[in-house]
Amino acid sequence: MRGVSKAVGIAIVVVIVAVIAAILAMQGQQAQMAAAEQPTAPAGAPMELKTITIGCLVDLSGPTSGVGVDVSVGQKAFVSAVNDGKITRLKELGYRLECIERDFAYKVPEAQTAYQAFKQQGVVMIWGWGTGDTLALAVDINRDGIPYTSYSYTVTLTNNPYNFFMMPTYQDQARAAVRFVKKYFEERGLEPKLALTYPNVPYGLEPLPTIRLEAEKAGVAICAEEIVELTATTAREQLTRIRGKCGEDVAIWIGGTLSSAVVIAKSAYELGMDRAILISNIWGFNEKTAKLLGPEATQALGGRLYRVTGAKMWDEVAEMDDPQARLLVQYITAQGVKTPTEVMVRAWINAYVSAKALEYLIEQGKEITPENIKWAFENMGPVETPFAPPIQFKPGDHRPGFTTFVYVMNGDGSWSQVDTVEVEELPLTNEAYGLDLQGDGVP
Amino acid sequence: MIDVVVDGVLRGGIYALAALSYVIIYRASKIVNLAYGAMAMLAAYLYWFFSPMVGPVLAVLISVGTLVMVAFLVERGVIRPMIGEPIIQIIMATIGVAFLIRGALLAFLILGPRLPGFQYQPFEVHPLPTGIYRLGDLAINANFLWAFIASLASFGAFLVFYRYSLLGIAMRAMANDRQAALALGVKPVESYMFSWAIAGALITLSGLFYASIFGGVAARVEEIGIKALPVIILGGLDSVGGAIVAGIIVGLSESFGRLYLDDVFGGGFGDVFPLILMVLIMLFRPYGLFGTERIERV
Amino acid sequence: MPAGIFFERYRRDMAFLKWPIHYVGLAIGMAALYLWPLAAGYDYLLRLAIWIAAWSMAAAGLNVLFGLTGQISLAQGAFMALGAFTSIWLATNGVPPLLAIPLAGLLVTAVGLLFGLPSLRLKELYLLISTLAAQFVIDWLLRTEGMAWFTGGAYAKLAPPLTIGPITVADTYGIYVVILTIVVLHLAALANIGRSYIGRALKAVRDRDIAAEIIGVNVFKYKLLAFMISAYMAAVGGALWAFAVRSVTVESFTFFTSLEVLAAVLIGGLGRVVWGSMLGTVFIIGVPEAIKMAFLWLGVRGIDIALRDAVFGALILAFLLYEPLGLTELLRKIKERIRLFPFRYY
Repeated sequence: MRGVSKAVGIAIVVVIVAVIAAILAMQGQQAQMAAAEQPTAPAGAPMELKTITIGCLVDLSGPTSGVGVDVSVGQKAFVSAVNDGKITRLKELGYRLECIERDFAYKVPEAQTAYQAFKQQGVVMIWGWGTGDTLALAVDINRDGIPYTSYSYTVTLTNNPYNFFMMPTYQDQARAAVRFVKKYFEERGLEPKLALTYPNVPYGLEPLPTIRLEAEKAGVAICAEEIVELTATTAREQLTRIRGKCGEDVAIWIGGTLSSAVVIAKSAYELGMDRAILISNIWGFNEKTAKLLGPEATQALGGRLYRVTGAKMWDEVAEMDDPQARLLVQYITAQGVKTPTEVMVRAWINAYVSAKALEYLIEQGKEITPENIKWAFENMGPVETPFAPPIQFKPGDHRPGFTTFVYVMNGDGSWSQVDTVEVEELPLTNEAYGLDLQGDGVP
Repeated sequence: MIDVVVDGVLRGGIYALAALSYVIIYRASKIVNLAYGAMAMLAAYLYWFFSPMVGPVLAVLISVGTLVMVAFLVERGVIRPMIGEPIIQIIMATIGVAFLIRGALLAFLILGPRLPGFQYQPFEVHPLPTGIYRLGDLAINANFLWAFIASLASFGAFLVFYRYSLLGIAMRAMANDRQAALALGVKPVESYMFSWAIAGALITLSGLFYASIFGGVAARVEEIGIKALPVIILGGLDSVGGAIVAGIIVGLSESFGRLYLDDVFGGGFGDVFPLILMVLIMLFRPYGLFGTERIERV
Repeated sequence: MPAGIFFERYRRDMAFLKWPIHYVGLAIGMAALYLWPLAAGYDYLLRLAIWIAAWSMAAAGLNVLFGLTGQISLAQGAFMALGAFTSIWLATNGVPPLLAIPLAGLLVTAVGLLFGLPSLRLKELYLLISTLAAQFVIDWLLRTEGMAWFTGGAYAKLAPPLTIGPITVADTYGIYVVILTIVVLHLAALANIGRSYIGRALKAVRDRDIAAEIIGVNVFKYKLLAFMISAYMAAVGGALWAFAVRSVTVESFTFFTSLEVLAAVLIGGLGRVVWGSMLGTVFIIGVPEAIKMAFLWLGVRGIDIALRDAVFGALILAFLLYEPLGLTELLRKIKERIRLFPFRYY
């Protein structure tokens, strides 16, 4: 009897594996069919394309997969646009991009191992992901000299010679937020007050010293600091305390991610904080917020939910009269995306700037090596996109720009831009940013 | 203050429902089902996928049906062949099941709605009302309130079934003493399968309720599996009534921890406070508040 | 246990190396472990090997605690994090790295002692979930801003380079050799624990703690000792990883790490401290990597993440259904088949 039931168990496992194999086979056939349907390369371009290999470290199934998938979609859309010859001159110059995608599920040791695998596969640069992997890999990257772009925008990374990112730093974005808050309250003749909420993880803590410093300089009182974890299911307690300390007219900074930002917004709505405004960082609210909140809360909070970002949001991009914007919309919707977000636009920008660096390198007649790509990033001059202010890197200073957009959510759930804040360039020192930049990542 | 208390109690209802399905499985198979989070996520993604097509009621039924089938399969294919092996190996097997379910879900998401991973997707049709109800000064989150009511209703239905139906009595008999129940003619297969099926249905509900807190579904839904663990331990692994009491204790202690202790011990302490409280209570009641005690003396 | 091999003397019966083949096997095995990178010295494989080595330390510790003493713990990840940060803190304050690693282990042992205390009252699944509390509390503590001096807070904590006296070990192979040596030494020590009076006491506690108390084993003391050993091993494992990759953040070791370590012990073989822990870790870390590389090589894109999880889950289930006692038991059966070839024992 035992033997029989064991056999049944093993049989079920085998069946499952067989089903997987069948799916795999089907998938393969579909891919072949799709390949067959695709028009072959245009006549007159018979030359063999040289492949540029890029390592793509993404989170598709881990704790940050909620937005990690969007990044993967944006990057893949751009790569196929390049390989179709629709954008940049890379194909014309005889090159194609290949992105070796690796889902590391936000496990840091796995990222550190995957990095070595990338190196062995001969990647010339890596499109990385978040705070965890970027910080942990800094030592390896500096030693091996492989350019690494990330979606973690903390200023401490700009100290590393091989780290690049395409948005204003978290710290500069936060400074812009502080200034916006000051302006918002002064326009209404109120005393500017800011309450900070942030999760207790490196990503949430990074911009804090700069915010405190900037608030002090700008004369914005920081009246409360509360931790709302990324896993929070409610923020009533924290908001109750904030209301107690700060009163009704307060700006609440949200330093978490989308789900905790939604939880905070819902709690603010439930507690009837009708005069408070909420201002989130770049990973907080986005195009999905209204649907997540539901119609009642969206209606009540409309006009009081703000976010800072460095790229245009989807609604605006979709209506832009610009060839690149149309290309972006076309290639991203071609992947069957249900809810396009600004994260995909940022992923596109990240890939576009990288491709521009490669293009510049080829045009200069230089060999494509990691070292030269770094040189190209630093010397190619500003890169213009319709979605973001010009992006420029300088040797020794990899802050791409200082212009931050402030968006507001309307009562119908759409987003519109209310302000563009240009903060002045701070010297890249500890005192200026109020933090410890010394030797981070430098072996 | 009263706001926070009501909030904590209502949230406790969701935890209690999550704990209940752990308890049912524990009573049937003497294991903790670590595939819980993956199953809850599966349920929430299924609801998200089907609700715009067929409406919320039918979508819930589809998720419940699928999860019941999955639970049947897990019981038949994995748990039953392993009866008699060390308990911890069976628990390990449920981790294997969790990987399998995640894999199957990813395959479904990639081939069906073309999501290349666990993308954060808002519900097009929310499973529960989203607004608030005002009672004087008190604002009650409609989502939490309905989740709480649904949890209580599920609890009530389960208790009636467990107490009065023939199958329920058989299940209780099996949980109390397997040998004696077998000797008296209880069919073991039936009671195992039904325990897992009911647990599957309850996992669906708790997954949906948890997802509705964030207004959509993401990999985050898996965390309900971990959030419910202190609840079952506090209530006692095999106590059905303990689950609801402990659920509310955990919900309240989270709220009070955040409200009063965050300032004392530093921010974020409220989230680990239920765990510390659990360990402290366990030192005095090692089998939870209502768990069956085993008396051992030297 | 098949019958057939007997010795006349207790010494020989208890020996690790009983037959000439054992000596040969050990010599070849150690040489292979140390020298394979010279034949196929890819940084990727070396880093994978270091990862497995560091995690197998934590797994061996848990195996002493769980396999020998019967106390379950889900807090190995937290102890690894503590070990990593403590060793870096010691090393930046002037302690030579090779000394900082075991010293960090000893310091973390005190914490292990603290979290071993509930084991006096709690058993089995109740204990499992109480140690889960330890994992989350330590994790929270390390992440708070007040601990930033210790953990680097929002930034990575960088380890100084690994030095042996005046020599700085910089290349991956050198680091691998150092780490392998430390792991081998620790595992050899643990292999002997099971055979000493300590090991017998631990096993008595595992098999029936009340009976152990009756025959005069101090149950509480040995439970705590097991917790200390497991915390020490986890801390050294974490410290080794810290010095190998030289950069640790508070996100490096999580609850998932604890789960991985527990799974490694269960799949490798409970109570088989050396072989079980090592094989289990190879399975838990190596197999998903192998699956990913295989799909990459086959050119399966997109759907590969689904297949990766499904195949890994199916493999775990297949192993547990076919051989619930773990990989070591499977190997032993294979060995018996080879020994008695072409006949079989049963």
